Parts: sequence; structure tokens; C-alpha cells
Amino acid sequence: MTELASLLATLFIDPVQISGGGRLLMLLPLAASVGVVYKTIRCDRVRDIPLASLVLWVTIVLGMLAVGVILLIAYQILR
Amino acid sequence: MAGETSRAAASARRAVRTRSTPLTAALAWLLPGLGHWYLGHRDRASIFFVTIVVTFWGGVALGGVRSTMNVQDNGAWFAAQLCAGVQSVGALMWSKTIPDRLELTATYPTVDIAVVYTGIAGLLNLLVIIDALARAEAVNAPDLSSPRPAGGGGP
Repeated sequence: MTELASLLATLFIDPVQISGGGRLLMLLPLAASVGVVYKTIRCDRVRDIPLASLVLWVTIVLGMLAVGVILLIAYQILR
Repeated sequence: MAGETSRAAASARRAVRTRSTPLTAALAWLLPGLGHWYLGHRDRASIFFVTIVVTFWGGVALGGVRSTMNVQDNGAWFAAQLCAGVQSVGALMWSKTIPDRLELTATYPTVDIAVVYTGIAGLLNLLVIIDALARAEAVNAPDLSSPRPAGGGGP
């Protein structure tokens, strides 16, 4: 019981330090969550969900990358 | 007689299928996917539960419960976090018990990422609640495909 409490403390009480490219990588699981929940709502058949979620996940990630690149270019031009 | 029997059968079928919309909404908020489970969509309910709970507690694990569930600093995000259900209330109560120490306070950008994860989990659960309500309404809607009872029914 003490070990479980200690594990919970380590997991959920102590914050994790994220820096550099790690913060960009955190987009991937969040986009996956959004894709899975949205496609679970939209798909009529449950067996269609994995592929539809994967397509949406790739779309979100590529879309966010495109937005990031556009904003970076705009920043470089306006700087 | 035959029409009466079929009407009774249709009424019994509807009685079995009818689901309380307020109860569906309450269950859907209480635990992600529970509303869909109540409506009989067990597969979808399991997917919603795992995805939203993992997203919420993943966010809490990133930022630590004290910094992530912070009513004063997070403003509108806190309202989004509350949509994640009773787990968010539990996390908030837990955060109140954590001492105010520097090593337990997340810094930028970790705290922002953690708050966004938990807030998005709440907003996703809001979508799931709305979907559960729509499905409950569809279940409770009269079955228009069944034949109308003989002799009309209008004034």
C-alpha cells in the first residue's frame, strides 16, 4: 500500500520537466485522443474507427505542422 | 384484436428501449463513456473511457496535480477540466491536499501542456455527452417505420 502511494506520488504529484523538441512531441498523443474520440462519435460502424482515427490524426499533425511553418515564415519576414 | 396486439407489442418494445435523457447526461458527465454504456453502445463507451481518462491523467502526470488543477491560475481552462467528470473533482480535491512547495510546482511550458491536456480531455467529454444525448433522443423518438394503428388516431 505504501509502495502504491509512493508510485502515485511520483506519477501524479511530481511534475515532469519538458523542454526543447519534447513540447512539440506532446502534440502527437493529444491529436490521437482528439482523432479517436471524434471518429468514435462519427463512424457508424465500430470497425471503421481505427483507420478513420489514423487518417484524422495524420491530418491534424500535418495541418499543425503547416500552420507552424506558415507562422515561422511570417515571423521571419516581419521581424 | 390483431391491431391491439401489435400496438401492445410496439408499446412494450418502446418501453424496453426508452432511456432517460437526463440520466444519460448525468452518467455521461460522471464517467466518460458511461452514458453510451447505459444506452447499450458498449464498444464506443469503452473507447471513450480509455481515451479521455488516459488523456486527463496523462496531463495530470505531466504537470503534477497541484499545478494542473489550479482554479486561480488556469481560469477558463478549469471550466473545461470540470467537463471531464467526477475524476476532475477528485483531482481538484487531491490538489488541495498537496503542500505549496517549489519542487511540486510545474514551470513553463510543462504547466501549459498539462492544463491543455486536461482541458481538452474535458472538452472531448463534453462532445461525448452531447453525442450521448443525441443518441438517447433518437432512441426515445417514436418509431415512424411501424404502421399507424387502424382507425386513425387524430381528432
